[in-house]
Amino acid sequence: MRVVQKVIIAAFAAVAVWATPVLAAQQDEDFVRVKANEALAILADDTLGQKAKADRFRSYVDEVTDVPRVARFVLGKYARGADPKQLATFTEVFRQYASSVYESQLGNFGGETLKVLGSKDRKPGDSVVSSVISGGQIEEPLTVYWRIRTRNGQQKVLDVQVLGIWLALQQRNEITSVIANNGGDIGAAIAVLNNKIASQDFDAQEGASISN
Amino acid sequence: MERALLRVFVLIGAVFMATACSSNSAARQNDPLYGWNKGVYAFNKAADDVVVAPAARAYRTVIPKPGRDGVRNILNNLRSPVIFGNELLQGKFGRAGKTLARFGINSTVGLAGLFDVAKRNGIERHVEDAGQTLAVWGVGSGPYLMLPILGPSNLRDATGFVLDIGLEPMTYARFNGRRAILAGRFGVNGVSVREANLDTVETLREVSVDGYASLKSAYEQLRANAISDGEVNIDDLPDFDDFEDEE
Repeated sequence: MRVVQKVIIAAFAAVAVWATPVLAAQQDEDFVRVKANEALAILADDTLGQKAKADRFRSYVDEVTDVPRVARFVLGKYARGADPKQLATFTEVFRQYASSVYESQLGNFGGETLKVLGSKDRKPGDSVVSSVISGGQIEEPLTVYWRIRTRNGQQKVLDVQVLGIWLALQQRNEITSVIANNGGDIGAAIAVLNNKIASQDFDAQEGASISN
Repeated sequence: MERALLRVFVLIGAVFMATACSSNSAARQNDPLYGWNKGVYAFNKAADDVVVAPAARAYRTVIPKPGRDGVRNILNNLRSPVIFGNELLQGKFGRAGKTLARFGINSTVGLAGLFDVAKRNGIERHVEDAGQTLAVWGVGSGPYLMLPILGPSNLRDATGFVLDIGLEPMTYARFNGRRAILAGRFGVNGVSVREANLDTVETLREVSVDGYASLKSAYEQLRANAISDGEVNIDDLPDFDDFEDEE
């Protein structure tokens, strides 16, 4: 009897181990499906004024992305040993820059729909979900990949690949170049991002610079 | 004309090699030709601002979109033999078959490539070149390399650019006016590609905080994406939990 019991327990354990990544991937796919369509809905909402839409999109970015982690990733090797106060300033400026860029570039979207195609687990808590956006203003269906990190049951977007380019990786290559060209000074990257935010011509409050 | 072009390239090369020798190479471990590249980047950007982009805008103004699409289709169709050859060399026989079918359909029913009839019938275009073939064969990219007029590349892709000339049927054609046709095709293709990317380039310049690094990063990512035929290799992705890793 005990042997049968052990076999049953082992069988269930094996199924659980096998099923866990599948379930994780499914959850990440659901997360992308829901959250990406929320983003498209915000961008397509014509009842919102430009400022209200920008505010909602900013809240949305904060909710779905792990901004502090992405900001540290973007700093590359310069994050190591960075002054905590300067790191906090950079994170805040980067958050504003990313929001303003997405708002300005995604502002022409409207009526698009997203369909999740599948996902791959890179390692536990780290997966890539593939999707395709079509309709609306898009002439050709657009393949978009989402890098999802899950910790303590909470999913966050770390990076997005559009037209073959991972955005956080692209930003890291630019930011680390700016810092390298300025003798390793993170303050230079903060200044450059502040200038970019100001030039994006959003509301005055967001356009105000944050000094390091 | 080819000799004249060669002389111009050598002259530009001499100027930029001088800047390369004097440039600060700190933190440029992944860009050993930084001085040369930065100089050619500045030259290309100036040429783009003064000549290429204005020509592309004029082209957009004068030629309506259906006309521009037709020109693009013809140029794409002319490129088919090179794509076909590279697909065979990479062992992608299914894709090679589709490229051959596209070439046959578009060259005939599509009126010498003017209309992409094959795409309307579900046969999508692929793009391959000898740089991608070398990558599939395991050849490393080599250093990043900005080429005058041609733009971002690397040692492998620049080599591939030369090898592709060998797969181009026009290389072996012999008739009066061949060089003029080749030069015209090169020019029209440049303007057509630039016109198609006017908005994208403008957007990149708006959001970029470092134009040179932005172009280099975008080129390297796009080439990796093209080599993998758009598939994401999850093992190649950087680790966000180890954000102190090297550039």
